Amino acid sequence: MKTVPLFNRRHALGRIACGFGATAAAAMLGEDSIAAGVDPMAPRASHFAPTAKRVIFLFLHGGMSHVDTFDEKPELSKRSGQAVPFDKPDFEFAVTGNLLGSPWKFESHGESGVRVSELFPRIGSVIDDICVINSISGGNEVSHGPACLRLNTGDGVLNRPSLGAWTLYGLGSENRDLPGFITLTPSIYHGGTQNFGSAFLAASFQGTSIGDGNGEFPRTAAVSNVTPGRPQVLQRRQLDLLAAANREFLVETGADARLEARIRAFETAFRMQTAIPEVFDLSKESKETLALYGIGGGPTDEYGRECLMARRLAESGVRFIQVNHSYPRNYWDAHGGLRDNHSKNAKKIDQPIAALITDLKRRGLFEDTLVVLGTEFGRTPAAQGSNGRDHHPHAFSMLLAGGGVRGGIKYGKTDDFGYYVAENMVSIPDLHATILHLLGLDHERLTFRHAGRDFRLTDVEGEVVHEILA
Amino acid sequence: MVSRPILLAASMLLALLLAWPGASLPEAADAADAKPADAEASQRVDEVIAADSPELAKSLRLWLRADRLQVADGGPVVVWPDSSGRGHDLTITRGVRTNGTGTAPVWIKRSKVNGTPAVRFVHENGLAASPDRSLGLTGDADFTIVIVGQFVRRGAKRYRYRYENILMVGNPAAAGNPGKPLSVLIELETDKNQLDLAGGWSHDASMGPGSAQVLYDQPNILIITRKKGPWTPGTRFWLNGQSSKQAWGRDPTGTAVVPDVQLRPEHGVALGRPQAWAGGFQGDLSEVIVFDRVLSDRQRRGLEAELATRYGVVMPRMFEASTRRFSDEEKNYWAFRPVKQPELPEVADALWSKSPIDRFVLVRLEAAGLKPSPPADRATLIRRVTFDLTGLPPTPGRIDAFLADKRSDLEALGSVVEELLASPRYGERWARHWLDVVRYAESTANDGNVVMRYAWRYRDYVIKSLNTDKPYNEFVIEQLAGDLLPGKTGQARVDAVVATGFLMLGPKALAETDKEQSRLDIVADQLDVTGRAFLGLTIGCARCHDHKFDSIPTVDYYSLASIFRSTEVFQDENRNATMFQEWKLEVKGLEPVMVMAPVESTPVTLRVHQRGDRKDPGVFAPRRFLQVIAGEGHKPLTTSSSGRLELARWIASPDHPLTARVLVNRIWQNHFGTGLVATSDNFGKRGELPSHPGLLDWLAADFVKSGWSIKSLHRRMVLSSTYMQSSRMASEATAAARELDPNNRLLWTMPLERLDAEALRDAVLAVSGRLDLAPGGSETGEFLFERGEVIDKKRPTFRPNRVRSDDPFYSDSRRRSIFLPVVRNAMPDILTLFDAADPNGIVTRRNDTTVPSQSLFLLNHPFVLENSAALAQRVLSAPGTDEAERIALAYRLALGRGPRPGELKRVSEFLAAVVAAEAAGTPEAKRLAAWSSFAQTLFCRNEFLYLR
Repeated sequence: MKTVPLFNRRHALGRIACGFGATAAAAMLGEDSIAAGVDPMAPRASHFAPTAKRVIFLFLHGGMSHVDTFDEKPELSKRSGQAVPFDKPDFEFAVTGNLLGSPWKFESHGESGVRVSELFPRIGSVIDDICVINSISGGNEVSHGPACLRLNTGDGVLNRPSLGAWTLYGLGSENRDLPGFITLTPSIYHGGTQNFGSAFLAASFQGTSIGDGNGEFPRTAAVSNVTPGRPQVLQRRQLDLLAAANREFLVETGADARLEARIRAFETAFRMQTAIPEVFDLSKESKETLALYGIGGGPTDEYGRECLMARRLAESGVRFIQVNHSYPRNYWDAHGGLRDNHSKNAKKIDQPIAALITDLKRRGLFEDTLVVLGTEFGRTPAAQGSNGRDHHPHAFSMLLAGGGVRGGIKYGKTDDFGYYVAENMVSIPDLHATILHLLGLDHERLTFRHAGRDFRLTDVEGEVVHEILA
Repeated sequence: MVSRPILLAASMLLALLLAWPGASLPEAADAADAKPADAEASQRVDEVIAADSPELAKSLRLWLRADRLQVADGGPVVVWPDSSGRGHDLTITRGVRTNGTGTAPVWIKRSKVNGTPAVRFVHENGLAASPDRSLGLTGDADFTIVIVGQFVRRGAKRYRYRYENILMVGNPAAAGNPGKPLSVLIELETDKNQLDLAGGWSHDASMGPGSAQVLYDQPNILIITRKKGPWTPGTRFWLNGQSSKQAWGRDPTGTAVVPDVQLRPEHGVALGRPQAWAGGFQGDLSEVIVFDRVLSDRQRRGLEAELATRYGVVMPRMFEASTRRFSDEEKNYWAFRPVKQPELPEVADALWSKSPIDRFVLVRLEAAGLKPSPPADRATLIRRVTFDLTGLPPTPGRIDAFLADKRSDLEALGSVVEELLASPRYGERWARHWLDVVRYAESTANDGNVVMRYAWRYRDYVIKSLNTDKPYNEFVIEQLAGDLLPGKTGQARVDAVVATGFLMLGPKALAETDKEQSRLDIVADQLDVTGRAFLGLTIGCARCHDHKFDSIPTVDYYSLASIFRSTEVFQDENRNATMFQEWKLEVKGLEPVMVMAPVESTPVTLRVHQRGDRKDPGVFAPRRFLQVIAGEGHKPLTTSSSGRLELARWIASPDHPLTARVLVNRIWQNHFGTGLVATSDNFGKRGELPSHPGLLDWLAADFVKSGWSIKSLHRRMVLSSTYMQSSRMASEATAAARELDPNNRLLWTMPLERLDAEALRDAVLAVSGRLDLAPGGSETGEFLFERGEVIDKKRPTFRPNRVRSDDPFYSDSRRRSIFLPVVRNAMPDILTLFDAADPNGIVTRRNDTTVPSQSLFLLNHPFVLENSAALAQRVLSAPGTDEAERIALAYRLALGRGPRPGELKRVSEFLAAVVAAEAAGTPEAKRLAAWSSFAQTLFCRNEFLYLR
């Protein structure tokens, strides 16, 4: 069929955006053009040359302790059992007692000699590729819900688009046969779907979830409505009948971008029925690869499969992949029994995460894939009860790797006990600004006009942490 | 009885003052008093000093606070303990002291003092502290006395005393000459209607005749300071922050005679009528504070600010700083100008215009050299208007009748429109548009996501209001303040209270540890929805700074916030999100009903939170409306209720410049795809200008004249040539028009619109013959409750792990989509895939996305497959045997027209091919598979999904 000139009856922007095709700038994809039926997934140029094309965000739910993992505190161990020698924070979740030294030893790893707790020997083995940030501040969000929302959406209370949604809004998707933002086993608690939602951005920017924290990561593809409802031969006949009718209708109505887009969308959907199960099928991976991730039983099996899946999705052009280690089955919220909780959880993820970095590297994906390891807050250097730690958003640690980040370095410092940030604070908006920067997006220019003002992920804050860029 | 003072002329006062040895102007004589009002306003008004702050504590002698009493509402106050720590507890005197006459006043939880707790006195009540403990105001003393209260004037029945004592210092047990033992006596002199500070025999300072009236009229912070020395010149009265000079235009009058109190040792304290010789006052006292020195101006102001905030008292000084001035340009902004109904414009083609709307549209088209599109055919028209007004497809029977109607298109359509507006389906459709705007949901979101079990009543209230064509002004008032409306009885009372669920629907944070912050966040949500739904203003933008584009200063935000913060959304301040207000509403003649509705609280005056930070308070924001519209520095509310009713009435007044315009525009948007103002929630500068300003105003004025009838508005809009235009885009004329006006802002065509999520789901069910048209009720919401997980023993509460966005409930239910439960963070995929409103926010216009996940849904979701089979069964079981007739029936049900010959042929071939390709199964099963597959393609067609 001859291409009819594009015209949108509601908004001229639709026409302009399509006219420029794939090069339309993110800024043009405002509220109006989304309403106009422009394909929101079309790839868009970034503001400047990116070093990362995609993100794998490994999210550890519940709050991983910083002083037991990546922020070694000899003074804390030395004065374990003594009172905290300064004021505790104004905002605390529960009552805590005296200082509690870490039950784990730290060791130097790699050429960089960065010290990592014995909880993570495998991550230690690839530490030269990782940047450890010890000075994350989550503000005063002392509860899981607001802290998760703040980390994932920039705001602990209000309904805001998630980091993944902003990324898709800015860049579109590289593979139109797959969702552009996929989140594996997210928790449905603590903000639930809001943590990967799109809020006022178009719904198509929200994350597609595969499974949730309540159940084991599914072994077969579980994207909604992907399993054909009828034999595909029959579906093909249906689509042909449909296409004939839709073409006739288009002649009747006259040109309309939305009607044409929908004709294409059915064909894309038909292809996705095949493409998605292929991507999700781990059986084609070699035994060696499966073993690398620890797949095939044992504590590493589930997170191993999720990390391997993340690599496959990254390889297939999915823009933003979040791998959740989440409540209630996997939960780092060690109010009591710290040793048991963190030992078990670390055992599940140490090998898969190290494998992911190794695997990305050997496949040439590491250079342009940003890997983030994050948690909603750290845990108090003071004890809760006899053997636990409380929520601690005031200073904690996260890891960044690949995609233009300097490996083998530590950035920022906490005080001798890990209570407060002592040097180079990185706030959540700073972290977000930096992630967007690596993706070639200026966090101050990535805006969306809604309800009379321009919103951005970082609101009125955020500074790119240039010191950690390669 | 106490003797009366000798009042002296002002000149004599001065002379006496100068004659007094060592006389100097008292410290309390504000330098500011002599300055013009502007200088007064420029002083700091934002400092708060508590009575027990370090700098005041050591002078604090007595501190009575009604809100610290532990007495049942209406119960007697036998002892009023002293909170100063000095032990001057007051007790009744009758039967306690020699010659004591004072009986117990009562404690009132919600008193006349803006609904705050107070001790209510009548004439015979009196309390006194033991004179054995010195109050420290011996003889001719410096002091500051603060009284927060409101007094009641004696009724027609004459009280036997002319002088009504409020507070006295002295020995209330002393008999004999009652004047003598007193060193301080604050009293109301009723025949002159004035307030006095008597200093014993013949020494008075008075506010002057008539001055007491204000004490009866409103809650007051009354402060009296006195400096040792000549009586009247040393005395100052302050009423709600204003000196008597500011309030009455003069200083205290009275005598400057040396008081005979210098050597008096008595120093007890009493309220009301502790003794036979005294007359007692009537009224409510919330707080009494005595200091043994004259507070500095700074301290007095700080204390006033503290008390004004606590008791919601409006002090002129406090609102002076909150006044904003606007330029003429700001005040004359188009949307703030009054609505004036313009004359209908003259047009060249008078025949085309069938309604006033058409004249306005046509005149602009003619000016641009454009022509309207030709009229749509009748089959298109009835499909368009039926979906538009009821969200459902027309039945084949109704289509046939309309096509056969011999009258003109307009008359025939008029009959259809009347039928549709009279159908309950109308309210079910249009309520959904409103629910989008007011962020309707049935769970609280965030990490608690507690079920709001009675929210559905609000949903049903909106449906009913639309179906009964409730005047829009009443609809507005009820949602903001239906609980406060006088004269509502029976079901009307229930409806009015349920309507205030509007204020409760927003998301709530369970885990917020700062509970006041979470209340302020709720207020922000209420303000945001009030602004954008009713006024088309983004008031929320002014929370942290003056609105960057519109004339909304931050202080106006907090003025409105003060109104909303004076209403309580939570039952328990420590468990906000789970303990929002749900209560049993008892109405005479009806069974009690459980409702989710806010309750009135104490009026408060918030302060501006600078940069949105509540720890950084700025000027006071008295309860009032938007100054740019209601007037610069307009008088703040003094009502002792929250002020919501006053706000609601202001918004819903016929001469409000925004309310009617915004509603008219919203209805227009839903009929024509885009509003006359394209940004329907933003009439501010960041919004768009109206495409047809005259039309907007004509409709707004007409709407108010029609008695705010929304149904009349539909008739106006739908029964017009503008609405009846074809949407066809294929002609040369349309090519030229879209070149000139690509956005169709001049309305030279009707836009093509995709069915929204609810209409799509409902239409599939209707076409397959499975739609359940049961009206509202709690039934579907109970589904949430059945899956509720008890996290709070007081009320079973829902956790989202039991309901998922792909829950089969959503696709199994055959109820209209508006009746599906709206669970935040677990909205049904079946609706969100097609851009249903996200109830976490206000949605004034939905997105219209076209993405493959929608196609996957239409291809593979059980909902579509099952309804395709049902449609197949429906046409296969219809009487008659002809395949062509069955195909035609399917077309007529789904698309509202019969198949063209080419289509008939293609479908026949498709059916035959599918049957032939099916390897297994009975002939019936093969046939059903083929027909189901065909039926499904009807649901997938653009012709089904889009409305021409």
